[in-house]
Amino acid sequence: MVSNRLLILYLAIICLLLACRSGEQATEGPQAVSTDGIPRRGGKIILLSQNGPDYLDPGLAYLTTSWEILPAVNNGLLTYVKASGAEGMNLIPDLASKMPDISPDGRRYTFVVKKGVRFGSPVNREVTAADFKYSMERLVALNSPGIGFYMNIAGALQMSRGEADHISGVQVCGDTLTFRLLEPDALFLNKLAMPFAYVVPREVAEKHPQDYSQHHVATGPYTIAEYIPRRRIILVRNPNYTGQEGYADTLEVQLGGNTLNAIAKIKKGQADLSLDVIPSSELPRLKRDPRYKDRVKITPVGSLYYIFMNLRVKPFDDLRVRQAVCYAIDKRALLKVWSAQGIIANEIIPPEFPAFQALTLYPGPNLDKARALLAEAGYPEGFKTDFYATNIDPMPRLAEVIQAQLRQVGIMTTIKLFDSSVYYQLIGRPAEQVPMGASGWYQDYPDPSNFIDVLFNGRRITPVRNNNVSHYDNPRVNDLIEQTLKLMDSQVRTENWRRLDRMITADATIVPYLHYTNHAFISRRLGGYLYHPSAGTMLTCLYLKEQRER
Amino acid sequence: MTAYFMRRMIWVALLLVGVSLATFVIFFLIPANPAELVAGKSATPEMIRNIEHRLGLDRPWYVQYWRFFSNAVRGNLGFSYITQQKVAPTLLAAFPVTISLTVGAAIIWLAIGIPIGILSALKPRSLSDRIAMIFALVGISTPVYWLGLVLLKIFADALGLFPLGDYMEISRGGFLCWIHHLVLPWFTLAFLYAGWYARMTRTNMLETMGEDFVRTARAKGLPERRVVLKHILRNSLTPVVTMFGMDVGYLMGGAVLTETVFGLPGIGGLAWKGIQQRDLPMVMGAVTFAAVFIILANLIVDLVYAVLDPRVRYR
Repeated sequence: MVSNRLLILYLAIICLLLACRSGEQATEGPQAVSTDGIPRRGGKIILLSQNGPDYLDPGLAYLTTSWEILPAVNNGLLTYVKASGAEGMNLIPDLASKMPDISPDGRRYTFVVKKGVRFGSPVNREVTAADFKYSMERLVALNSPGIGFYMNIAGALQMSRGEADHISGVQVCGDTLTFRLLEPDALFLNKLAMPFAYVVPREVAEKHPQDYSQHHVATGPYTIAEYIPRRRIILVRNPNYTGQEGYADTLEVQLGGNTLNAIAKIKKGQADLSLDVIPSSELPRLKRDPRYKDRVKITPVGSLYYIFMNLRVKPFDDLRVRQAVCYAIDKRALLKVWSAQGIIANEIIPPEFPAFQALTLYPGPNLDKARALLAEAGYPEGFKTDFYATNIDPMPRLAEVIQAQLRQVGIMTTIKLFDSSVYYQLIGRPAEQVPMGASGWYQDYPDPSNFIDVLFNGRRITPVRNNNVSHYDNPRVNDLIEQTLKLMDSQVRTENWRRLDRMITADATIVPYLHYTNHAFISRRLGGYLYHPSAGTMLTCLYLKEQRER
Repeated sequence: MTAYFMRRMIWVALLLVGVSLATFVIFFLIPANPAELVAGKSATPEMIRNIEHRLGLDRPWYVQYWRFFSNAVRGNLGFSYITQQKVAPTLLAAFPVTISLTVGAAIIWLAIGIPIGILSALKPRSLSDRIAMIFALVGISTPVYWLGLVLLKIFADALGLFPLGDYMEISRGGFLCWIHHLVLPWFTLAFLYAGWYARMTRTNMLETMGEDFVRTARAKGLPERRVVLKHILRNSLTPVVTMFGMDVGYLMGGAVLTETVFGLPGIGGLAWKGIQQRDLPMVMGAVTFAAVFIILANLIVDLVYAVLDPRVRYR
C-alpha cells in the first residue's frame, strides 16, 4: 500500500514537472527561423541583467545597462555609427536633420530638428526643438548626474544656482535649435550624443518628476511595454517610429538572477545574452570549451585599470619611489587575476583611440632597478604603507598579488578593502590622504580627454568626488590639457593627447596595467551582437538566427 | 489577556522605535555620503550640495530621523535615494516573493525536521537515531549558498528538472510553475532549518520522556501512541514553537543568501542592495519591515504557548 502511494506521488511530481516545462515553452514568442546568419525580423530575444538599470529616465540613468537599453527606445540630436572599435566613434545625425553648423569660433552650434518624428504613446505628437531645450533644462532641475557635461552652455550655471529659470544659451526658433557655449569645446557633439541629452516630452516628464521611468515615452524603434523593477523590462516595437527598425519583435530583459545562472541559461538556450560581466570563474572554461568558445564575443572598450599613488602622501611625492613601484609590478600576473579579460596597459589612452601609442617607459618587473631607485630615494629597506581596494572580485585577489610583488622590494603594504560605495568616496576626498590603491575608468564619451583631463588635470581636484585620485597637479600638464580641450583641429589634438600621455606616464603617478576588453557569451541562435565603445550592447542590431534550442 | 496584549503592543511600538533609531544612527557612522553616489562620477561639489539639500541630508540626523518617523507612522517610508521609487510599494512588491519562499520552506522543514526528531527520540542511540543526527549535523553545517549552487547544478543545469533560478508569479505562469520555480529554493532553505528542528525536537522529547507525568501516563495504561503524541510531543513543542516564530519572523525580513543564489527578487535582496548603495530610506524600510515581522512572530508565539501548555495563562 505504501509503495503504491509513493508511486502515485512520484508520478504526480513527474506530471507537475512536465506540465511546468511545457508551460514555460508555451510562453515563448514566435521564433524567426533561419540558420544562415542573415538578419531576420521577428521573434523574442531574451536578455539577462542581474542588477538591471538604475533608471529608464534618460536624465538620470548612468549605469551601463541603462545606457544599453535607452538607445533602443530614445533618441538625441546625434548618435554614433553602429559599429565597434574606432568606426563606432563617428557621430551621425539622429533626430537632427543634418550635422550642426558650427560657428568659426567654435562657440555656437546650430541644429535643425528632423521633421515627422513623433513621440510614442500616450503623447503621439511631433518632437520639436522646444522639447530638446526643455530636456536640457530638465537636467538642471533633476540635479542629473550628467549636468556637469553641459555646464559649458551659457546660462547653465546660472540656472543650476537658481538665478535663472532657463538656460539662456539654448535658443529655439521654429525647428532650429542653437547652443551657445562659454568656451569652445571640441567634444560638445559627443556630449550631445549621450543619453542625458535624449529628448523627453514635457507634458509627461512634468507630470511624473519622481517616476518618469515608470511613465517612459519612446521616440526610438522600441517602446517599453512593461517595466517591473527587479523582474523584467519588455520592449516591443514603437508603432510611431519611422526610422530603421530593430530586428526582433520583442526584447525581454529579465532582471535579477545571478551571473552564474545566466551563463547556464544561455548554454541551455533559455536566454540569449547576459548584459553583465561573465564571472571570472566561468570565462576560462567557456573560452576552452569547443562547444562554446565561438560564442564568446570579445570587444575592446575604452577603459583603463591602474594602481594610483597619492602624490600628497609621503613617500609617493618622490618620483623615484613611484618609479620603483612601476618597476616592481608584474603586469602579466595582474592580467591573470583578471582571467585575461583585456590587454596589458603601459599607457593611459586605450588602444581603440586614434591617439593611442604603445609606451614602454617602465618595462618590468625589474626588481633590481626598483630596489636601486628606492635606495636612491632614501628607502633602502623599503617602507610601510596602506593599499586600498574595493571588495568586489577580482580586486581583493589583485590587492594580494600587488602586496606580494611590492614586498619583494621591501614595500610592505596593509590591504584595506571597502565596499565600492564607500571606496570611491574615500579615494575621491583629498582629506582622506589615501596613499595608494587600485582604480579603473571607463569612457563616458570616446575621446582621450575623458581619461587625461578627468583623471590627471590638477585643476579638477575637488574636495569631494575627485577623480584625480593621485592628486597629480603638474602645471605644464594642466595648461596643455586646457589648451588641447579648446582645439578644434583633430590632428593637433591627437598629437597633444599623445604628448600628454607620455608626460603623465613618465611622471609615474599611476601604474597602468589593464585595458579591459568586454567578453559576452551569446546563445546559439543569436546574431548581430555588437558592442559599441560608448553605448555598449546595441540591442537594435540583435536578431535571431534559428529556432530556440530545446 | 487583553491587558497583556495591550502591554505587548506598547513594547512592540517601543522596540520599533529603538530598532529604527539604531539603524539610523549606524547609517550615519558609515563614512559614505549617499548624495555623492546619486550625483555620479562627474559630479561637482555644488551638485552634491544640491542633492544633499533635495534629499534632506544637510539637516541634523535627529531632524532627518523625526521626518522619517513621522512619515513612517502614516505609512509613508519615503523615496529611495537611488531609484526614486516609493519604498513602501517596492517592499510590498517584494513581499510575495519572500512570503512564498519562507512559508514553503517552513512547511518543508517542519515536515522533515519534527518527524525525524520524534523517530530519533523514540529510539535513542539506535542506527536510525545516528543516521538522523548525522542528517541534522549536515543540514546545520551546510552553507546555504553552497547547497543552493549544488542543487542548481544537479537538478536545474544537469538534469533540467527545475528552472535555473528566478521567480515566477502565479499570475504569469500559473500555480504549478510558481511551485516549480520555488522547489529548489524551498529545499535549500529548509535543509538548514530541518537539521535544527530535528535536533531540537529530539532533545526536548528525551527530556520530557523522563518526566513524572509521562511515567504516570504509561502507568495508567495509555497506549504508547497517545503517550507520545498527547503527552510527550505536546510538552516538547513549546521551545520548538518559540524557535519557529523567531525563524519565520526573521526570514520574512528576507533570506538574502537563498534569494541571491536563486535570483529571487525578495526583501532580503532589497535590503542588501540598499546597504550597498547607502540607500537610507530603503534600508530603514526593510529593517522596519523585518522588525515588525520578528516582533509580531514573537507575540504570536507567546499567545500560542497558552494553547500548547495549559499551565500558561496571561493576565
